[in-house]
Amino acid sequence: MESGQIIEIVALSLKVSLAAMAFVVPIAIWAAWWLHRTRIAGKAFVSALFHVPLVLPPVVTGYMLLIAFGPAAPLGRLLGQAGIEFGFRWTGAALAAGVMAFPLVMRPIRQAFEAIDPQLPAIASTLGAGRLVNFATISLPMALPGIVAGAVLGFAKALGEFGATITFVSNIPGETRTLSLAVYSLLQSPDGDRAAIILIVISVVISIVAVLISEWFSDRIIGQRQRRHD
Amino acid sequence: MIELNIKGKVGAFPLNVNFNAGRGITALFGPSGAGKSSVIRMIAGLEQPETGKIEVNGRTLFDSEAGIDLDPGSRKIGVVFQDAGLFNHMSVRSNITYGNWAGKRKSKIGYEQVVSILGIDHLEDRRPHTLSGGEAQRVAIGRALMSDPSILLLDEPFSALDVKRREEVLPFLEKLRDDVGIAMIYVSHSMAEVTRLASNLVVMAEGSVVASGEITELLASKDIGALTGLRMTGSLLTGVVSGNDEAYGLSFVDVGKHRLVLTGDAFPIGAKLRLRISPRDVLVSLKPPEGLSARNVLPAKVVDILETTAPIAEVMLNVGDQSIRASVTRAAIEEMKLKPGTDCYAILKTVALEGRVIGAA
Repeated sequence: MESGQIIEIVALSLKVSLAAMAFVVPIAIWAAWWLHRTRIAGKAFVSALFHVPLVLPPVVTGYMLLIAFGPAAPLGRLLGQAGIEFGFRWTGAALAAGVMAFPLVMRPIRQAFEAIDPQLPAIASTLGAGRLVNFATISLPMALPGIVAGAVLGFAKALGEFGATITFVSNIPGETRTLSLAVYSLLQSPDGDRAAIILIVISVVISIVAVLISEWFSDRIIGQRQRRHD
Repeated sequence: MIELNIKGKVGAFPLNVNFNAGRGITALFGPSGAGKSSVIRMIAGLEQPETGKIEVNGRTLFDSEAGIDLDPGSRKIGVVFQDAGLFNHMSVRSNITYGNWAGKRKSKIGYEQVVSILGIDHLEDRRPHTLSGGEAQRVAIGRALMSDPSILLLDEPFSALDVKRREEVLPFLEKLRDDVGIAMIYVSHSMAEVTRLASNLVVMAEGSVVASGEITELLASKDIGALTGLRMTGSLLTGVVSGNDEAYGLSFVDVGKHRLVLTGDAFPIGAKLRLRISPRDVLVSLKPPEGLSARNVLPAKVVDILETTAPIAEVMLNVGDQSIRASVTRAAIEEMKLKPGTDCYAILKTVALEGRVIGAA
């Protein structure tokens, strides 16, 4: 395997994962905030629903995406007319990776919101800060370590996504063949072992670095919480 | 001016509070669990009463009958809690001006004036977590002041500080009261702080107001000890400085027609002082005493004697139109035949007088 090919695979994987985080992180912040604030009766059910991608077989998630966003699906056709195509495109790989990573991204963000002393937004409101300003100047910056931790963890998860991706957008070199799919393909061919090992080492390094970064930010949240209880 | 008449709940207990508070500092006093903090949170709009009405400076903040319930942002109430609650991700300066840049409030007092009154001008570039407890509380007060509040609510702002730090912070609050003239409600369970700062007192117990009024009058009332749960609360006398004797380090304070002698700092002539007198420091004599080192002897009349089974009882005395208490053994009361109406002399030990300026006379 040529180094050019390796670079192409790694670059595609990074592009897919970054794109996945670009749309999932804002949604996860919104979902975490909603779960943190809402007092509705069905909260536990909604929370469980958000966590479904974590426990559902990835193939099932991929198939559901195909039904919803595939070229033949009404929603997929509608988005296609708007210029957003998912079927057999790298954007579809990003969608699949994002959906699979969503629960992992949301969890630390929600914990970060829960760790904020409720007195602080209350004080900000007495000082005249409206809801949006209050969120933007108090809750959001205070939850930043959790948001970064979630994003990094989700990014690593997106890099390794396999089942949903291959089901939804297949395994097309240069378009949807990310790191995991490339490793899988190489292991299928009789002499692909050596090339696969290079990709495996790369993915191991990226994953460990990502988890280390995520842990470092999580520690900062726990540190904040402990200071509060001193 | 705040008018408050609310019913609600504190946890499982009913809350039924009704009081008015005018200028100066109104102390909200009572044991923990009395509902003081809930009252503060309800005025600020952070908790909801079930029924009732809250008015500040003629503006209705809450009225269950009219269906009015302003959100905290529109109430213009400054709040300072026990925990300063500074925003750690911002500089001290951004904290103080938060109400201006995030809350779009225009402060009537300038930033420079606020930081100089509170003595926090040298802290503005620091991060909040590097501040001491007393500094953090002063920044929190400055932040509340800059949000242009019509009243300042202080919920045990100094109870987390040790005695020494508290002594450092209280003068800033006195300055605020006298220089800025903003009305404040001050929650405390320290009678020493209350008598030093407040002009009005509201005593709460188990969710209700058990006594309220002008503080010197209230502390002179017979049952204040039982209401506050504090024995030997002490009395307050108001006097005017009439002279100083620097050679002996004495100040003269006129209480009604009589002159008292104070040691310690010289006060400006004409300054109004509040003197706190502990019943333990008051002796009662039937004749004018002679050959005694105490300088302060006031003609008095016994008004009442608080019944007790303890060896020591409290005798309430009128001195001019003010009143003080003396703790006297029951045996002495019987021997001296003290009863309401008895003319006598109250002897105060000079050292027992502690003067505080309460605004220019």
